[in-house]
Amino acid sequence: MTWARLAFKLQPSSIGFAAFVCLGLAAVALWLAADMRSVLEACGTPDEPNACQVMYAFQDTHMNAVFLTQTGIGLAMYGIPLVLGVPILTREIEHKTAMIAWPLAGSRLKWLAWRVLPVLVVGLAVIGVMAFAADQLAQAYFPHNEIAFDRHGSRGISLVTRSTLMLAAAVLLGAVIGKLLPGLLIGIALAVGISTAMDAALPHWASSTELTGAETEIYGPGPLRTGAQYRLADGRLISAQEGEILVQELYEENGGEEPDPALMPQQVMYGIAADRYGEVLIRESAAIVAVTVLASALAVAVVQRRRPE
Amino acid sequence: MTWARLAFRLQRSSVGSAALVSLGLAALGAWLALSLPSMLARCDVPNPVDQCGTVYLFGSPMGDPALLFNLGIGVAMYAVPIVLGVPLVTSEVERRTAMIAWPLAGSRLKWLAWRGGSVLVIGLVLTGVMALAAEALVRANVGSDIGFASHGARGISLLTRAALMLVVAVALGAVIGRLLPSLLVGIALAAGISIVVQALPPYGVEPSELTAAEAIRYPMTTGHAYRAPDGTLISEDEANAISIAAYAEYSPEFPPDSILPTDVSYGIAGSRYHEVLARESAVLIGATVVAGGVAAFVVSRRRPE
Repeated sequence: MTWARLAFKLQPSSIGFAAFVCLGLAAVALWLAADMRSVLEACGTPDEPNACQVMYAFQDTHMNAVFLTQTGIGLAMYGIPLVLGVPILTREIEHKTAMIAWPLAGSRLKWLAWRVLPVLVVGLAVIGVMAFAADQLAQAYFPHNEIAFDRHGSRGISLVTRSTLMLAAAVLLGAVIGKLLPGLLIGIALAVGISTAMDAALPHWASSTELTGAETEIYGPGPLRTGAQYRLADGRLISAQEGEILVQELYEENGGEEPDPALMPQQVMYGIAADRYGEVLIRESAAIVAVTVLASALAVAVVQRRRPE
Repeated sequence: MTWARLAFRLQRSSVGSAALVSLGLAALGAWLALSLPSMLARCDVPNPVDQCGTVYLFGSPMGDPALLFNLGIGVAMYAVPIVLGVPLVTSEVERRTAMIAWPLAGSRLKWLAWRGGSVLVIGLVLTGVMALAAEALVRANVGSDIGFASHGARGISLLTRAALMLVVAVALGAVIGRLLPSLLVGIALAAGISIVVQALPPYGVEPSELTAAEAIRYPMTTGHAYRAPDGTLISEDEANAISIAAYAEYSPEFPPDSILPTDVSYGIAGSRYHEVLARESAVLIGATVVAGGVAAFVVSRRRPE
């Protein structure tokens, strides 16, 4: 474990902060998950709690704590890689130690590998624990449903792949800019960009289809909902806005009473069904890993070519 | 404006990013404040545009930008001072230029006053613009009588919090002397300051029972109670028991209001907002002066490396 000790000695504040935040959030998430699951132990008994019956089982009791924890995890999954990755090169360049360290290492590539790999391993370990805890928290919050796309991107494998990409991008950013504060500030903007791009790309990893059965509900965990339309009695499809106006008009014509169901347009939901989550996750992970490799290669190229000051 | 140019040259990235964030948010806030009345009017018609039915955040069709603005203001009011304040001393210490700059300035206090003063002015101008935009947006949404609505995230209350954070960030940078650890500790400190300043009000201002009119004009609510039909104050359990008995007696009709317990709110009416604001500002300015004193003390004593 000499490499881990050395990595910590070189970046004590970043690694200490990363461990404190990730493990702290993981502990809170696991405690909340255990607390919610303990409530369900009374299901089937005469004192059965309300949570045993409803989809939003813990909305009244745990929602705020769960939301705050998930928000913290959502910020940490980008903040921690940034804090770990940017200083690796900026520190050496700003302190002008790169001029000594790079020639001493034999090759810059070897130096980069020795500096980045321990941070990557330590970062992945603490982020992995947080990702597992976030996954448990999301599953415990919806105990009666398959969560599938719910909280996708901020739990489990999808969190780890995004964080790894952010770490590689942070190392690249540090190598390009060479100064800590500008690197961190641009990194924040980059993190917002990566997060937005990932969310925007999600519906495109698999084709949307008409959802059926329970998945046609507007809210709740499970499928990825991408759009809604209304189907008229003759089978024609109209937009959601036109459908809502038509429903309103039918109610007005009927004096506020419920209209004849045969005349009412039926809502049609489109999206990616919950059972296709694995397919989407694999495609997205492959794309993110490829971009991570690309960012790492760019970081190597920059380190090979840049001035050490 | 030589001092401003010099401050910018010395802290290019922090002043640049602070200006970008503050002025960007101020522009968004001003646009929302100006657009709000016309947007609301567009929704106040039969079959309004699609978004009108789903917007509740500001009662406007601009849910997402308004939410982003509120989130942005909440983060920027602490992040901008941290980014401006922390590097002030740490950059000199880490680059070892403090060993030259401090003796050259004649006295360390003079150096701190010139460097800290210019950054403080820049920070106050930037957060001031943001505070004005936030205040205008709240007024556009709520009306002129805004009371305690969005207290702490608009106007003077935002400015005093940002000033305190900025001076604390300077002190933190002076104590730790290194940029990254100071930024990380600064984030934790900002969370702490944010929690403390939310818990401190009403700063000794005596709460009173709020009238029905006062209760809807954005008061600071400090407590609830129930009043029985005979006028005595009762607990929530007692109020529930009276209500259940009344509903059972009159079922299936509703019981008359005169025999039901009423909700009583205690707090400080929106019309007394300035009383609380003045006391809060005095407390926060006092804390800012103390933090400034700590920063001056540390800078005058610490090793320049």
